[in-house]
Amino acid sequence: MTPTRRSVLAGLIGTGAVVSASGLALVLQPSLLVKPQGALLVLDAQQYSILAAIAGRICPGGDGFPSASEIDVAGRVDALLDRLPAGTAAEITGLLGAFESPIVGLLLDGRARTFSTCAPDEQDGVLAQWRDSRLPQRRTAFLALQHLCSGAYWTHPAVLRAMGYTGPSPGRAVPT
Amino acid sequence: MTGSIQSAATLSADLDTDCDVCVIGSGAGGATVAAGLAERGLSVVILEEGGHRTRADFKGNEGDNVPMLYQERGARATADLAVSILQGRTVGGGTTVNWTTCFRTPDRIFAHWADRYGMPYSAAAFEPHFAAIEERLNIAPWQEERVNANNRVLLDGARRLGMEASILRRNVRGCADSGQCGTGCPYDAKQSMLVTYVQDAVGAGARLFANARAERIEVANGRAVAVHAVAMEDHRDRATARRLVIRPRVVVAAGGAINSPALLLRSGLTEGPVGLRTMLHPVVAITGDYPQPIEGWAGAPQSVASHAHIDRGPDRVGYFLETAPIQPMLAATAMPVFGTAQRDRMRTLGHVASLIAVCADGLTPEETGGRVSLRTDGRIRVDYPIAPALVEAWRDAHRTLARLHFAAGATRAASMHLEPVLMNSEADLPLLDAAPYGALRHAVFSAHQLGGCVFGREAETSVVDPDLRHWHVGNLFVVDGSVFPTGLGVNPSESIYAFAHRAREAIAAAV
Repeated sequence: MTPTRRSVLAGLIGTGAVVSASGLALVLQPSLLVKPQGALLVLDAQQYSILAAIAGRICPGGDGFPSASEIDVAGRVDALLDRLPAGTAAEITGLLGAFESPIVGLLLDGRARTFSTCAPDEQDGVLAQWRDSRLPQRRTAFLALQHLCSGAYWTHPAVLRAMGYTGPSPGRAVPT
Repeated sequence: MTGSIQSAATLSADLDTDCDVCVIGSGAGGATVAAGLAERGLSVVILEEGGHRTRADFKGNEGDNVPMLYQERGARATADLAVSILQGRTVGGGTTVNWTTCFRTPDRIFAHWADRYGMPYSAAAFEPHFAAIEERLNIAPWQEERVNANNRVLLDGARRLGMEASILRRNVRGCADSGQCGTGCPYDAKQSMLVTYVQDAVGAGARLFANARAERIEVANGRAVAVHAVAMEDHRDRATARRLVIRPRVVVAAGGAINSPALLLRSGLTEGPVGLRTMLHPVVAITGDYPQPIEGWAGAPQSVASHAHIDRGPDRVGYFLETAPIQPMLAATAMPVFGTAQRDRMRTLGHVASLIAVCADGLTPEETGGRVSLRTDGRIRVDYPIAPALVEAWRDAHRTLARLHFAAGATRAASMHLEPVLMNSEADLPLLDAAPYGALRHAVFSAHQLGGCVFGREAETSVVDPDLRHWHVGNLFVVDGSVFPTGLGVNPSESIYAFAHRAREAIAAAV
């Protein structure tokens, strides 16, 4: 059966639930919480923090570019999720939980820590492991997060200014 | 008598009305039909799921305009996310956001449909329909002197390789070269449905309700008796409490491939291969770095095409070559890289050209295409298994695209693999052979969706007859890209216009 966003979540979260019985300590590992920069519409504080950590590595900024946190990529994604059907938003929030889970991390990559508490280099490694995985479901999950964060980042005016994008051509009146 | 365009979200009460024809969708198929029927004096109600946006809303800002104008706020994709699906959702449908490229249905496609499906279509029979469309939409060849740098790469590269390539035709009038076709034309220069047939229809009395999602067609005794719709919030995909019930004499489903088969499924009209043979004209791309500025966000997004590889034999998938505009968000999400690699790539975007290969799927015996179905919560699901013949075509297309870049003077070419293949000269082309191809191995896009309610000569193997009439519901027609059982090998908008133009007569006769 072709993997879907739904089956990705069901599989990963289901696996995590089974293991949690013998790994309570892992389940209780806290996320590194960051304060939302505005009122959240879909995400809760933990989900916002996980997404902020992911966005910080997908769009790290630097060298003249603003960081993901400086332009609140996680908040911009939250606003987009609010416009999508509830089922789609629920899939994304479920995915964030799977990505953060130390149990899923331990099972798949030997990482027994929450994603948000990992060091930046380690977070980059986690992203690469999802991107390069032999499991197509993990590559699907990576692409979902890459698209959401990149879309939110590379449409912000400060980012476009930094890359020298001057916006659409003002156009010229040329009869055809 | 002049009609109206109104957001269903602003209705002060539920609506229950009758009419001669209810057209579901205001894109290439729906608007063309609606205009012709309204001008015949029939009362027409058009239901459009998207909002009514006009030139004042089209700012060229992807962050605002893509969620505003595209299906699923720009996030539509196959269920496994292997294929990103760009599909319009606004008054005018996909024509409001397409890149204006127009081709007639190729003779070889008409011949394939006649041979494989027994269809009575031909280029000669469609000549008056193409001619009428081309006049109304001002379809004409673009000027070579106005080809932008991105398309110039394709033209120059092909000429240096001795490969066929030519200037294509566009539906524009007074184009300002703003490059904003994909986010709506701020000059009304694009002759989309928004400014042509929708206006013709409304001018002849049609009533168009935007933000109105058709939930189901009610059928009784083999006849469509009502269309049940719900008013949607303007800026969120949430239904309001407002309901619309349209009671027409004839229904035209024109929501486009993907949405029309989903509507039939929601309506319980599951006879025949509904949702099957969904074709996506899947696209792969290679970027090239150039010493000179390309600024692929400016100028006509597409003005050159090559069909040198469209016929690769009966068992191979053919492809045609075009370019994709290079807007920041489109580029950042298309290139599946992250971190500093993404940042450094985006920094040089002004010097990057993008060539694409569009695969004509569904023409080999092996390919059956994808499937549209419904999730348990009612959302649409699209599955698109990747046929081996398609993988072979992608592999071949990657080499072709890279060769074109180097022939045009690129200093580097890069694939869209999850780990990009980087090439500094033609000598590096063998690196492409070692790369993986298939679902979730590299970026794949779809800007053309076809099939799902395919035409045919037998009720068991098709959804509509050669006149696009539903086999089991005599007063229901399907008029959009969903009726095509194969890819076309060209951009499909003009084919949809022409089939819709032809269908006007049969629909009017059914009223």
